[in-house]
Amino acid sequence: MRKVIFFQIFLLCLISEASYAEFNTHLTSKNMPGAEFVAVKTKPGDTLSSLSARYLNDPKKAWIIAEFNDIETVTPDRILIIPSQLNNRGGIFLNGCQTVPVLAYHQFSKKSTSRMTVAEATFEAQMKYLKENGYRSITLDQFFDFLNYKNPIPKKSVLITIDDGWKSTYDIAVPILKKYSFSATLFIYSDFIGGQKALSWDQIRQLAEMGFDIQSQSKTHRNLAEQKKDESFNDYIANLEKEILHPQVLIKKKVGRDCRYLAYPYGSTNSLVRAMLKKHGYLGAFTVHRGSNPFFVNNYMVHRSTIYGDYDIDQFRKNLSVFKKIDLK
Amino acid sequence: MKPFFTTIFLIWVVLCLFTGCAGLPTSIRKPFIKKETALMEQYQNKAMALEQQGDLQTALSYWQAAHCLNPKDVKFSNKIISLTDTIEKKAEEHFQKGMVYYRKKHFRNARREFLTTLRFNPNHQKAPVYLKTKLIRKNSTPYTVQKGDTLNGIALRFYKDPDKGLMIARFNDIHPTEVPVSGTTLILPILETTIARPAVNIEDELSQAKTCFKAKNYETVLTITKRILEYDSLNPDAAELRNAGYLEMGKVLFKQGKLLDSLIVLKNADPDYQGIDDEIRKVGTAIKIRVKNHYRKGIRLYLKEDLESAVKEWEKVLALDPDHRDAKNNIEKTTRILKNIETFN
Repeated sequence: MRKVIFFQIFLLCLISEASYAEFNTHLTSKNMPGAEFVAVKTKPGDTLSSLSARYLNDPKKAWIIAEFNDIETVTPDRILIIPSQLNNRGGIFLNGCQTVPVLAYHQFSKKSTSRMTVAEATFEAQMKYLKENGYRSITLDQFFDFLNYKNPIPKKSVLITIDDGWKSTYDIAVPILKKYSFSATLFIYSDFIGGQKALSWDQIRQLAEMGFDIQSQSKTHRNLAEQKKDESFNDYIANLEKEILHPQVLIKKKVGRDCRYLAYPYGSTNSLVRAMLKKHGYLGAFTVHRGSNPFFVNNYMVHRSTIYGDYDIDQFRKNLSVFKKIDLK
Repeated sequence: MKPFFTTIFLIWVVLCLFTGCAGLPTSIRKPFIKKETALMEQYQNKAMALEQQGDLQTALSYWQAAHCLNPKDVKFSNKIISLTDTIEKKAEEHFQKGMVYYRKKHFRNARREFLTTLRFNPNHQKAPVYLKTKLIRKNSTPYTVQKGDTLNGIALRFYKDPDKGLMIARFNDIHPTEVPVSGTTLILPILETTIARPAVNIEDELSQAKTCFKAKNYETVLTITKRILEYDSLNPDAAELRNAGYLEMGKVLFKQGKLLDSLIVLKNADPDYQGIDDEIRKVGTAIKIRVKNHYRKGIRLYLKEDLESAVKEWEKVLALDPDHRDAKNNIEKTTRILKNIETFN
């Protein structure tokens, strides 16, 4: 009798196995270290995130499954191939390579009053455009992992940055970013924080907890590449060091996060500033030279496109290039 | 009965061992096998097409996907091994080409070859190093201290300026009077010959804007401050001048009787700028009075049966207050009457 029961259990096991089939192939060679592919038959309730959590140990890697299988959602009873990683870390193809647009915003208002201020409705329309057209916002760490040729990122990646530290970032931009599940990086200049129209440190802490990156835009927002008329060269160097160090220390103290990236005030830089940044542990910095970034861009001269308040959606769209054509046959 | 069950059980075990996953009940397994085979063929075709185009790395990933669906098919594993070898060879060829260009300082071509190397073999060790460090402009250079070197001496040699010794000290965390130890490596920042000038000379522009403000040339004040604020959105002097420019221009337009223009100009200033609120209120009240006057005049003309002039007056009302309901209704009614009269005549 025991054997009969054992036999039935064994049979049941095999049948249930058939309803959720999975093959795992470990294929390694000196050229493909650790590359693994898993074939999975999807079942009701599976999503890209749940599969990613199960097979890639990270729900945020869902885009890898989506891009390899050329799908946007998971339908049940379908076979999907899940690669453990994508080897093409630089997004390099026969006809060119992947680029990442970095958008630079400053101030927001209910209605735009100047070129540097983006109206609430305009910002909402821009974020909606990104969402509806398959763009994914990435974090600063993901962006620099891509630039450092460590990890691939989704094909249509975009980095959203907001300068200065205006209060309107908290009141207007953040609710819209959250609505579309986008993240952003705030480049604050520390002397501005706590002012009447600026973010408070408490608000910055909240934003950091929500997942926003908090980074530096110097102490006073002076042009770092310019030695002032009444400033000796040695004073310039000393002041430069203050501009670079002060926000780094303050962000660590007030927000508890490491500050490793900087947006140059007015986008201006020179080799001295860049050498100083490197000396103080900054891993990258952003200009306002318009254009998208391939992985081989200089980490201390990352391009950014300022989005002006009077941009319509067509002008906005022109700043979203995700591919640079180069003949690489 | 016992031997019967034991036999069946053993047959099952043997079947399963022989056939692996395919040993599952056929009725359940069949649809999956069909899908699997179709997908495998799809990947195989895709891989072959990509190979023909020369996109070997992507082709490899599709061969791997096909192999994953049928790991026992030797055809796939052989293909993967041979393709991997080809990819490595091609990658190395392009890397060597890149090195030739790099040595000849043809950096653009070198970059293209290093990128092609990575297109073939994303795991190439040296190509990313060249792309990310050697082909990027340097910001500093290492210097090995020689016996007898001083900071000012190094500064004189490197920058043609002994005073830059202080900068070397600061960059290398050593005291300015300290003699650097022979054999240690110092970081010497590269100084660009031209210091970047700002795109807008703020001081000159501001002084020009102030002169224009004194001369009551508000339009130019607004043009200059706009230019400064686009470059430096937080410049307090420019913001002050801009707001003052809008306020004064609004006042001038008000005096000229251009009430709507005045209101538009005033609303461009920051709402909390001192005096703006009062001026907007003043213009708003004047607009209301003017609306009332035009409306009443229209009524008077209507009663005098000068319908065309009445309509003109109400149109003036709408120009100042587009939402004025009574004026809209009156225009509609009076226009209808005018049409009827025309038809009747």
